[in-house]
Amino acid sequence: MRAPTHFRRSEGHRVKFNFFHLMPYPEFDRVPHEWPVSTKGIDSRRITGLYRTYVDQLADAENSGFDWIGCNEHHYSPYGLNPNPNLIASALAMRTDKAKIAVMGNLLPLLNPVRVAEEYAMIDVMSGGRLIAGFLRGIPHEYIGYNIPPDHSRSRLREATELILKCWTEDEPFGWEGEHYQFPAVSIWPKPIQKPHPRILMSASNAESAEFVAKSRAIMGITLIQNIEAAKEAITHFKTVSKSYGWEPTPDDILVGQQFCLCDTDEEAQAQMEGAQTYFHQTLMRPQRAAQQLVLQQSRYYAGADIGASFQKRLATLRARTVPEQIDAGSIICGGPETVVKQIKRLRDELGCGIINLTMKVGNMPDAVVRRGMELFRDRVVPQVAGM
Amino acid sequence: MSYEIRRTELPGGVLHYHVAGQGKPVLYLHAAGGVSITRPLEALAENHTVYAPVTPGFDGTAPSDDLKTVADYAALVADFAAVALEEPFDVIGSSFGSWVAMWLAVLRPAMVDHLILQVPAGFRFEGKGGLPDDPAGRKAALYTHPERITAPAKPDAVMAANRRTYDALATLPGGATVDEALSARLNEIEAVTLILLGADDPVVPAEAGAHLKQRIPVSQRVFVFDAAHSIEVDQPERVTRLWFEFLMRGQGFVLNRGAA
Repeated sequence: MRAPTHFRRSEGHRVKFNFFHLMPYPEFDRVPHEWPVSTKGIDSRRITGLYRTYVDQLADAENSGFDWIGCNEHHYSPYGLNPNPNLIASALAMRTDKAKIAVMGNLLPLLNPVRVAEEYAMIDVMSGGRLIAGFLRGIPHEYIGYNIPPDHSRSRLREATELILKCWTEDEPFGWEGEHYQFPAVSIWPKPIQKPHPRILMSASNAESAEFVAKSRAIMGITLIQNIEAAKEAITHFKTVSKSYGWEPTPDDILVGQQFCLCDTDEEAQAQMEGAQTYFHQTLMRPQRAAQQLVLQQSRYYAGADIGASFQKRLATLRARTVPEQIDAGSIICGGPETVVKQIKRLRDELGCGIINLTMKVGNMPDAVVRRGMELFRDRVVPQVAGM
Repeated sequence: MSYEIRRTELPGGVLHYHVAGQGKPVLYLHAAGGVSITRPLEALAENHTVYAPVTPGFDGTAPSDDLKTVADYAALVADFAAVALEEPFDVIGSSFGSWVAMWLAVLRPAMVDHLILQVPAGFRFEGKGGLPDDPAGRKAALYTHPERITAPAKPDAVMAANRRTYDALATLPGGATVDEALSARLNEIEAVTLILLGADDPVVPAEAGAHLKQRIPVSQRVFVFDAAHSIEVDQPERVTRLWFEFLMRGQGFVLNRGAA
């Protein structure tokens, strides 16, 4: 392991861990060929059980060493059974006491921003001020589903962000006259507990998005890391841009996301991850590829064509790698407790990230494996990384 | 629609004013930069008679020794309106002009039908807001889209005189940054009022609009997205739409009636 270069630990910035749940449908027995995906043959009563299992896992995570618990929004496929993560977050708000509730996030350009402001404020109040509010743009193909022009994604994100902040911070009723949104009279009830407003989290996986995240003084999140060097480059760029906006991000402003598998031994973890990723890539991710391609080819979802190509290349690269190759590259965290501790330290030291987002259930990973991972995390990992 | 400049003699002194259009009268009260015929003002004159008086001392006109305060100028405007406009009429103020418009609505409530207060000056709580002194900072505070300026630039000497006149009228006793006398009387405003703010305006912070919203009995306030202080320049279509909707429908402008 190389010695840290760019980043130093800051006092008071203990690494925090997010138990992140994609809430996948784990038993899809066909190879889906198109997006949106048909629900033929899917028993919704079975999904009742999945929701219970997943919410239980998330709620229990706060007693397993996780500082945050979170989920996100996806539509129209078994990839994630969570078209409205605020519903899950509200359940978590009532069942937990201390973990931050990280909604990562609402896809602002697809939604009514005032409604997002209201629902997020409710979650913050219901949880006693524990919301982390994700303001995300979404994955390209989601724009087909909600019939929103992908070309407008950035301008809608920008305007929706400003409007939501006004909804949270203006006590007197107001109207909004914008490019995409017009609301003549707004006054949301309740306002968030956190003042001036809950922390915002945004994706900064490329230079285009980093600019807006820096301007918004939000937590920057990067996922789908191709390798440590690429992630370091993205974080360094974010820090540089942030300085130009008059602030200096701390580790608490940087979140790095990884798929995660923790078992009793390295061998078992790698075998579990391999099986889970097969389902993840071949079943869960497959249907949206063509739809994503369509959006990227026929719109300006990414202002730079090179960024769109880079996004697709990154996905293809990750898909083609073996589990050990992904571990070496720093793309996933996978192994027995000692190995996982080393991998976490590597991320922290190399990237200076203060928040590590762990996708705990990858693909169709058995829930017993997820649960065992939680126990090992609490008993064998947290004590080793608590001082970081 | 082109504006012409006229001159009138009132008991309180000489007043120049721009006028254009035909239709229900609207009194437009200019900002500290003087009168600029913006795109919303051109559009407004297509179906209103727009009167835009020039504060004495602005835009190359002679200053008046009788005008010491914003309220003094509001009284002169009232005298002008009593002669030139049929009552009640609608009033649109911009920044300094909004300050004048509020005093007019307080002093002569029966005159004012609909009142639009754009980026209203006079309420800089804790000294926040105001225009920076340096030219670059001033431009950034005024415009998010300076490329949309359509009015010709005024000579430096005119702008300097505008500034002097503004400072003379707007400087409050004891260096105060809030017109407390006006604040205490805002609840006397009878006109249905629309407060317009630039979402990115550092000159008039959002608190000023909230203060007015709290005190003016029948009022709405709207943020114009992607606009700094000069909202007519930065977002002419949005401002025009808001003006027309509010002047036509008053409080009902909040109701979405769908496509015509």
